[in-house]
Amino acid sequence: MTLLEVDTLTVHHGQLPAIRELSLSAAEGQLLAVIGANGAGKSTLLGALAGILRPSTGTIRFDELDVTALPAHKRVAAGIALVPEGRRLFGSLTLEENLKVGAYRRRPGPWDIDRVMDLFGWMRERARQRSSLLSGGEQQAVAIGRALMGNPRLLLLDEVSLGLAPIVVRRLYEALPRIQESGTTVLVVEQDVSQAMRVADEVICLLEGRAVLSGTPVSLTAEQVERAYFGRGVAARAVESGNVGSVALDGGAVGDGATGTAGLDPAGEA
Amino acid sequence: MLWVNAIVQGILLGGLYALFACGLSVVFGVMRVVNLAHGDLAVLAAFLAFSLTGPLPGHLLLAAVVVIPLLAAVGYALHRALLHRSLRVGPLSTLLATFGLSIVLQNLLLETYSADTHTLPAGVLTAGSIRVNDQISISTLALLTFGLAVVVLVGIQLFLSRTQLGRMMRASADDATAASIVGGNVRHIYAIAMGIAFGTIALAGVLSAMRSSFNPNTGPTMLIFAFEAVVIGGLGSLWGTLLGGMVLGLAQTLCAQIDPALTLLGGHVIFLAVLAFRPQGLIPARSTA
Repeated sequence: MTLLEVDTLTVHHGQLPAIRELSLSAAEGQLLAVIGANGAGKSTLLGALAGILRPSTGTIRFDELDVTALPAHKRVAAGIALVPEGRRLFGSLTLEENLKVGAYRRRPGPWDIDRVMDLFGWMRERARQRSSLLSGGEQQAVAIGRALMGNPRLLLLDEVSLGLAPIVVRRLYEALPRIQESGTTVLVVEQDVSQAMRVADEVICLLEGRAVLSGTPVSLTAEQVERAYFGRGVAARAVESGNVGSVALDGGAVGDGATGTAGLDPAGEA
Repeated sequence: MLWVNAIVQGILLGGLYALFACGLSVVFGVMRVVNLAHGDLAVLAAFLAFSLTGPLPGHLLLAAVVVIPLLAAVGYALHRALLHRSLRVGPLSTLLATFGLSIVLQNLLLETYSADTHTLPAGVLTAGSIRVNDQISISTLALLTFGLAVVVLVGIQLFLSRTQLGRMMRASADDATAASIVGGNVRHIYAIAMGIAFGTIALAGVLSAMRSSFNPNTGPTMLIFAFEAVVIGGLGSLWGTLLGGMVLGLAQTLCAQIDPALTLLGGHVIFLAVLAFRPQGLIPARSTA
């Protein structure tokens, strides 16, 4: 059954169309990965799905309901939860309070504070610590836990790997299959292609706001992904620099190759 | 013993200032808005209570029961209709909007009630007192005011820390966009905070009017006292507001003990000293950084 259906969606950032006539769909229980270089429109897509950005044209249907005009807080009630880029925890609240706020519009379901703390075992000891004092990886885990507390049907994860050490990223990604097992549909957005390819059922590659490639990870060759990721003109240079994973981790090369915006600037595609 | 009396009276007076200030503190803490109409709203509450007690003398409690929820509702509606819109434009526009509201209120009150000075007849409350010894006796009204101030401040603190809505209110203060993606309707939540603030202003306004006289131009003075209590205690911290109110009250009564002409000056000097030497206030709010 199709849970999410995006039809010819265009989202503007000021004058600039960041997403151009994009269509995609996600089946219930699927783990869908949207990859693309910095500035490809990935975060804008999630912002539009979560209701914090208004699309110019196109429709978003969730569980066969048109949610295009629904404000963010009502989408949470409908079952869409976003883990935003940069985590955006509530810094003056404790870890536990952050999780409890996530249950503000709790839907019935398996996730509660105990289950989230089982998923990330270290949380019990630090429950009363102020969230602004946690490390980046810990904050990312709390942000995921906070979104799960509402028992979403669709979990949107924006750049989980951003600014984190590879081993921390791997641990966070290890939690995704367990989230998927609970019946939640997951949509991850990533610059780190190797992580996304490892866990996803289906991969969509964005280039300048358009979907240029999609398929299951096994059906796509590394060369195809690189071409789509960087655009045609620079594909040759990208191939030279090694396999997909290492290229993707190198944010600077990715940025100036595809879109002209350089580096891992977290504000770049907010 | 005269000094002990001044200290006791100062602390009790501080309760009233803290009650005045907690609405300002909540609004600033949650949405970073300074409500310049704060004092005028207290005067409005006093006049509303005056109008209600006119036909029903002695039913001050009844007046408070009507005026407090009424002003809370006005606060909620005002935020949804006007202030939230100006909040989106920027902090300066909310200052201007509340400043305009202050002028409108003052002139409406002047038009309706004239510039005459009024008092709220509180009957036995005004005159009643508890005699501690020959030099010290505590006014029932002052004690009641102090007790209510503590109850209100503790109540708001518990609401913010223990309830789901209170936690969401603090979350919205940290990051409004993030609050909306975890399901918070920020406009509604801010409006509730404004409603709570207006309710406390109404209570403070009625209690203050029982204690001393008021006219349509009293508002700005009340705003200054409330503002000073908030700044002395620490912006956005409710315990700080209670302490700030008491420090302000103490400064005023102790200076009055030296020379009654120094009463107001004493409070202002303490306020300036805190601004100069401890600008974060005595009990700073937990930072989000």
